Amino acid sequence: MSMSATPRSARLSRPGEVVAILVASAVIWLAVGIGLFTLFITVFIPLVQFGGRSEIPNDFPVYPGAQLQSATASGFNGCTTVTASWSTRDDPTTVTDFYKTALSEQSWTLIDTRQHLRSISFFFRGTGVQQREGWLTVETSSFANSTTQISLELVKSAPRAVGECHVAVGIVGS
Amino acid sequence: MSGAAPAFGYGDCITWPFRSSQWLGRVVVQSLIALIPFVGAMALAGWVLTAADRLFEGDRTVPPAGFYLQRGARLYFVAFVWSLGSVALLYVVLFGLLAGFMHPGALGGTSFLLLFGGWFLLVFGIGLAVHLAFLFIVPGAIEADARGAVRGLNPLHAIVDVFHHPKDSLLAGLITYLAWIIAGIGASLCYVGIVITLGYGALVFAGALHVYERNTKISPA
Repeated sequence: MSMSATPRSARLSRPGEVVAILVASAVIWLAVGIGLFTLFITVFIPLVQFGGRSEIPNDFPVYPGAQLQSATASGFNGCTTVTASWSTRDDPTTVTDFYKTALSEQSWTLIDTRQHLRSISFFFRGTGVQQREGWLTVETSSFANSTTQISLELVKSAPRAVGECHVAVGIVGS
Repeated sequence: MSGAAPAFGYGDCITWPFRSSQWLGRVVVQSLIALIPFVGAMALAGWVLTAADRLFEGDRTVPPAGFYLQRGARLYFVAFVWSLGSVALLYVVLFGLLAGFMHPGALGGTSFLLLFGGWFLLVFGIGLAVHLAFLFIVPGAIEADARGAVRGLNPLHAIVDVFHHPKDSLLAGLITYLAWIIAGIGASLCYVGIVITLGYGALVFAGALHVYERNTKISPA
C-alpha cells in the first residue's frame, strides 16, 4: 500500500460529492439500460429475425406481395441452410399455382410435390453449378380469413465445398 | 517488523460478526437498506468500510445499520464505473458473436468453427475473468478507499499490490469469493434469505479488507 494513502479518518466524501455520484450513477445506469433496450429492439431482434435474408438466393421466386416473416441462416461443413417464411392474404391455391410454375422454370427444377391435409410441399433443386435444393411449403391457416403461410428450407453449398449439401425434412447433411 | 502473530486472521473474517450481540438485527436492517437502488449499494459499501475501520481500532462489534453514504461514496463510484465498463464490454462481445451466428456467410466457410470457438472462448473467458477479478477486488477496494474516487479508478495500484503481496491477495480473494457466495445464497431461498446473507457476506468482506490492509502495511512491499 502506498504511503500517500489518505488517513482512515479522512476518507469521507463531501455531501455534494455523494449526491453527484448518486445522481450520475442513476442517470448513467438509466441511459445504459435504455440504450441496451433500444439496441435490443431495433438491432438485435431484426438481426435474429431477418439475419438470413441475404442468404436467400436472389433468383429464388418470392410470391408477389408476400411479406417476409423471418429469415435465418446457419452454416456447417460448407453447407448453408436458409429457413424463411412469408405470409400473404392471397388464397393458397393461387400461391400453389404460382410456385408450381416458378419452381419449374429458369434456375429451378421441381422434383416432387407432396399434398398434406392443410398444406402442400414442393421439393426443388437449382439448375446451376452450385448445389442448391430445398422444400417449400404452402400452408393454409386454420382460421377463416387469415393469411397463407409460405415456408422455405433451402440448403446450398459453398463455392468450393467438398461434397454435396442435402436437405431432408429439417435434416441437413453433406 | 513485529513478530507477534496477528490476532485477527483471514479465518476470523467468517466468524467475527457473531461475537457482536446485536449482529442479526443490524445485518437484517442493513441488508434491507442495501436493496434500495443506488443509495443502498453506497450505504452498504460505507457500512463495510465502517466495519473495517472499527476492526482497525480493535472494536469487533458490527456497526449499527445506517446510511453510511459519505463513507461509501468513493468505493461505490469505483465499483460502479468498473462494473459498468465490464457489462458494456460483455454485451458488445455477446451481440457481436450473436450477429456473427446470424450471418454465417460473412466469415467464409470456416465461420461456424470460428464462431463456435469464439462462443466457447467468451464463456470460458468470462469464467476466468470473474475468478481472476477476485484477486483484485480487495486491493482495488482498499486503493479506491485510500486514494479517492477518481484516482481509485486507476487499476495499476491494485495490480502492483497483488504482485507485491500474492499470498495475501490470494487469501483475500478466496475470502471475498466466499463472501460473494454467502451473500448470494439468500437469493436462492425465495429471495427472502438475502436479508441475512447479503449483510453477513458484506461483513465477511469487511474482515478481508481489514486483514489485507493490515498485513500489506506491515509486510515489506
